[in-house]
Amino acid sequence: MIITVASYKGGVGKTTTAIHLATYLQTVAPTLLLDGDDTRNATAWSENGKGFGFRIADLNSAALLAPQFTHVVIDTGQRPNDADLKALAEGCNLLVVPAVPSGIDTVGLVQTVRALRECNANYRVLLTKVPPPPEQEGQQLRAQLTGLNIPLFAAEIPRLKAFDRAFHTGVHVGEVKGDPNAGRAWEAYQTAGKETVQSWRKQASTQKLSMR
Amino acid sequence: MAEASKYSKTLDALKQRPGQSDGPLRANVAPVPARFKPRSKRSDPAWRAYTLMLKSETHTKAGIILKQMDTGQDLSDLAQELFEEWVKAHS
Repeated sequence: MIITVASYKGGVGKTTTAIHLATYLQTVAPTLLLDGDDTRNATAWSENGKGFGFRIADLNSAALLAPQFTHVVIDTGQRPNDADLKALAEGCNLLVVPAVPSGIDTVGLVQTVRALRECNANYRVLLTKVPPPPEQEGQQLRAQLTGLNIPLFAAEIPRLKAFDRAFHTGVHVGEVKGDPNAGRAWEAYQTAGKETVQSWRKQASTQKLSMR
Repeated sequence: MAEASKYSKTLDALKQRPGQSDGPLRANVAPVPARFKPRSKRSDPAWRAYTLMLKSETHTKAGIILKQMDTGQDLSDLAQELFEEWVKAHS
């Protein structure tokens, strides 16, 4: 399976999502994360610690390494151009679009979704940095997107300091020590990972049926 | 002139991988270095060890059935599957 994490909007948790989906997929089968971000955020995160269970490489290493891995996650980092989005839409099994439920960030989401629809991409929005109750922004955005028939992950990623701690210690959030919310944060990404695998399996079985 | 994508070459390379479009999860995957192999449940942060009480007869019978089925599923996989279904049905 090839997954791309992309959004026109910065700061929505693309790298965090790419790293944690790769961490989950590695528990299923060998996984490669391709760091397509010019600032190499995923690589920097990894280098803050002892490295992850999955492999991280740059885009140029894809041809050499990819045959060894069942799953590939591409972190697009900075805003991809239209040609990038089109290429990724055609070449991936699923495009994951992280979205932060706040007014300003939603503008970038609308632009991304519009571009993905034009490419006929298989995409799904993942709500990230969702504030805790009583704040309602997460629920409100979910209701809006559902009303617009925009595909969404049932999982959503809470806004937690544990992710910052994970970055600074170079681990995935499930390995953060001394933070009572780390387990909850990791469970959220595990749920998203499971949904991703289920979606891919469904896609694969549909392809098989249509080939018969 | 059409805008070029920096991902085109990468995606072409990924397409060349064997058995990726519709095959089973582990199909045609070359052996990977040990450090990249999936972790055992005990070292996998997704899993946590718990103590729970089961009737010994049920435990024994379940163990025998799993062995006979020979699917590679162990008792914790079975418990996880059953719990997950239950949670899904009640949430």
